[in-house]
Amino acid sequence: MKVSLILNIVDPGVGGVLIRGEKGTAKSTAVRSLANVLPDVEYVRGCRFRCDPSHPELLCSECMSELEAGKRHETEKGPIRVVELPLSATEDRIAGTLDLEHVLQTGKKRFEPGVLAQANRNILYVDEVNLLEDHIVDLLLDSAAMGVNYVEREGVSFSHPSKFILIGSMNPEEGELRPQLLDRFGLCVDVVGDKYVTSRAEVVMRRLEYDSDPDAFIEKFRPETEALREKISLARKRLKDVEVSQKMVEVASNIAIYFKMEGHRADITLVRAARANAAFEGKDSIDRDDFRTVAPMVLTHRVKKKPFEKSGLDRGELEECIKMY
Amino acid sequence: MHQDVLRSLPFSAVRGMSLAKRALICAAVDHSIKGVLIKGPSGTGKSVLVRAFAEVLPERDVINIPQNITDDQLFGGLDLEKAVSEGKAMVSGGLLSRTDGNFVYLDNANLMDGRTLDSLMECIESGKVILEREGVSAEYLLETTAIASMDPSERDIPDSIADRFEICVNIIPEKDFRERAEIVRADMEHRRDISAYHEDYRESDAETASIIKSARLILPSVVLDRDDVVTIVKICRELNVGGHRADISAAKVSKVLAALDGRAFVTDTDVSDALVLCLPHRRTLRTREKAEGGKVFELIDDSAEDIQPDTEIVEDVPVLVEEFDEEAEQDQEGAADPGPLEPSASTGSRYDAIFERAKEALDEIEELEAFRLHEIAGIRSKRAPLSMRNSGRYRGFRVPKGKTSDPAFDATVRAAAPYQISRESNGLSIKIESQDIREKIRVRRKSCSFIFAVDVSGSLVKGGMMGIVQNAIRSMLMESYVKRDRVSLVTFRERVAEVAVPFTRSVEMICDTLEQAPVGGSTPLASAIIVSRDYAVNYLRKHPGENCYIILITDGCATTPAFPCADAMGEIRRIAPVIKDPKIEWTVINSGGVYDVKRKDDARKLAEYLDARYIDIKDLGEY
Repeated sequence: MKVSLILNIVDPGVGGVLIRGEKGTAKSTAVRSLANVLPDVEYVRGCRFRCDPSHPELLCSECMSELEAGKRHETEKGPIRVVELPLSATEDRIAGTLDLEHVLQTGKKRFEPGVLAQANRNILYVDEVNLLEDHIVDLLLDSAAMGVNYVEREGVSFSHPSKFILIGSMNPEEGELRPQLLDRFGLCVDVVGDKYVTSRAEVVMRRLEYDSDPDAFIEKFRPETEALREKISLARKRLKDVEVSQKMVEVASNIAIYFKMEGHRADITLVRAARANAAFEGKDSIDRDDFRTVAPMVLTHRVKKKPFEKSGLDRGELEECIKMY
Repeated sequence: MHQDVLRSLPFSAVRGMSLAKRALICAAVDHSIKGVLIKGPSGTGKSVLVRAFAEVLPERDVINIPQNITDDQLFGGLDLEKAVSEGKAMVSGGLLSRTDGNFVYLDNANLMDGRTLDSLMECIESGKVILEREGVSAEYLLETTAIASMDPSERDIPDSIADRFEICVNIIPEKDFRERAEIVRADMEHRRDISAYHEDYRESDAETASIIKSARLILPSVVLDRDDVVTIVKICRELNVGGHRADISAAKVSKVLAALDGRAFVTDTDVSDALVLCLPHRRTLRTREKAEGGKVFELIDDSAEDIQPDTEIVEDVPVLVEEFDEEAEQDQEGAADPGPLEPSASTGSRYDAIFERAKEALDEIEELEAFRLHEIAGIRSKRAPLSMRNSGRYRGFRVPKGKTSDPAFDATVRAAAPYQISRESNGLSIKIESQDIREKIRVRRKSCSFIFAVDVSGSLVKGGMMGIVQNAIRSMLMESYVKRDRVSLVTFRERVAEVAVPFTRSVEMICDTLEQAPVGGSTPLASAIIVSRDYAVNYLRKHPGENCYIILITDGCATTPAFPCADAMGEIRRIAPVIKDPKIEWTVINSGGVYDVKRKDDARKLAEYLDARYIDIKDLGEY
């Protein structure tokens, strides 16, 4: 689970993670703790959408008009944030809506940004994503796919960049996710509770320790956390230099075909995730081991199982497939 | 626009999907082609292609219509600012008014509200938007083309709406690994340096744009002669495509294809290619059934593969041509002078060739599509009812009855707007009075709940029925699995009927439980009916507005009564009228009678008592 999260931070293009697991398997804890290892990004000061000044083509309309007016953007740095989407959120709070106060006071329309605006260039975390209402899911899908949130409602029409890492968690006991939404998640991991007495005990011990003195606990792990943060930051910089050979791309396509993937998201994600993994491990190029690490995460939720079979990914077949080509 | 362009791939860099590309180019050449529908599985690059298409369009934009759009926003409504400041009711055009002369793009069109989609296509087809709302009425002209994309595995769009799209393309997933690897490569290169990548393809994109431009110039002079029109009409009839839209679209598209090739005349290939573009979504089951019902052509059996057109068809032709005549005059300005109505000998053989080619391609498309849909189970769309609670999608507004807890702010402000000049403002910019208040109409997709009451008694275990029953449940659950309905399981044997699995969305849980359920013993059918019904009533109390389906899977042979009495069947007959509820629908699936003929009637009787739908388990099919 940790790896899947890290890969996404290294390359947001991996396309999000879906974490599936029973209750109490630390799904939310892991995502929330992610905040501690997130690297800093540069953004335009005062921009509601935290625009990226280094990509002028992706600026929001407000920054764009400032830029065209000849103004130079001041920038500041801050860590990527984890924005949580509450289950009960309504469509207008997510997509943004008419600023009512503004209308009543001035008689003019103004756009009030919602969660999707906050989520731009950040992580959007949806707990219990399977319980989200269908129309909200559609909305998330739309912006996740395009990186832009188009708002056309209640007398406002507006669009702003909304490029985020979508992290969802769910307990499969409470129902499945629509297949279309599944495919949109780049990676998927199944979390299971530990079976070994010793490691379970360790979990309990840590929790008790944390509860009795949270600050000391955080302090204790600080070196480790810092090191990880550093490593992630480095991997982000290295990412572009990781070489991806033609052979490896073909391996990825072969895997996708073998497991009957219809769309191209699987192939593309395989390569992106493998590259992020290689960057994280400090390698110069991707190799089969990277696929061994990432392929299960890319494929579990995409493999078409007959609805009543257990998850359809056969590790043996996967290994064969990676070796074969 | 500039932003959107850089986000997409260049058009010529999009690999594969040649048919879809062609369809889009056709629409770019001929603006009277009003709709292109692209169907394909998720992740095959439908939206990528459409966004890339914007780049090669000379002088036209592609405007995205979001799924969550309200009618006001789309079609237009009262101009708020004007109304407030000047007290005049003026119309401000919606998003649609801005699309005049451009393309609109509907991603996931199948998930859009059906009514909105229908009226949108109606406006686009008629070229006119008529507004009647909030005391303003307006009309404006609209010249635009709709491009819609969708994944049919999730939900299909109604045939009547699909028919409004001139062209439909099915995207077939790429199976060749080299080609797939190329696609991954292209994606990587594009991400590495967006601007440079676009530079690389600038020339070929410009070439496409110039092909489109010159085809536009040629198009008015392209001649489609009468024989070709006759051929198109015949083939459409033969493939059981109803309505005139198909004929007209195919005629238009043949001309465009010729123009794209720089010719002023239409070849056979143009015609067959046009048919392949225009017919896939129109060969629906409905039209096929109608045809099989026996009026026009009983000769064609679509299930068989290579049926040759019979000679009788040719004899029918003159009649068809006469029917077509008026249409031909109206719609084919380029059509040549009326030739002989009897098709000449050469037309006959030409016709066969075109027919063969078009039919072969269409059959292939249909087969691939059917195969794919079969793999992911059957899906039916469901109607979206009005929702009572404050959740669901905001669809529109109404004048509330009494107090509302869910005001529609925009509509309220609009209702108040024209009176602002005359009202005392009290320091507020907008003064709202109680008669202005509007509330939101919300629509939410209705979910259904199913209770499976399964007989696990001795009479069922005989002859390996359990396996068949499990398969039957699975095949029924396939649908709820896709639709996210709630299901629960009641099992009954010996003296007990119990809720084995409470309502859940997890189908796996039902199946696991069923597999592990103890079997054997007598049949307390009456108890099972009472338990299921009580459970359903309880559930419905908490979830008003839903319906509940109880599916009884049994051989209908009650052996243990719920209350001490002699006649277990008689007991059911007596309780049946008492437990009726309009929100509960019963279905009886007869699991008996497969091996034991004399028991067959018990289940049928049971269904009669309960007013239930009766299905024989054999008819459910196996998975």
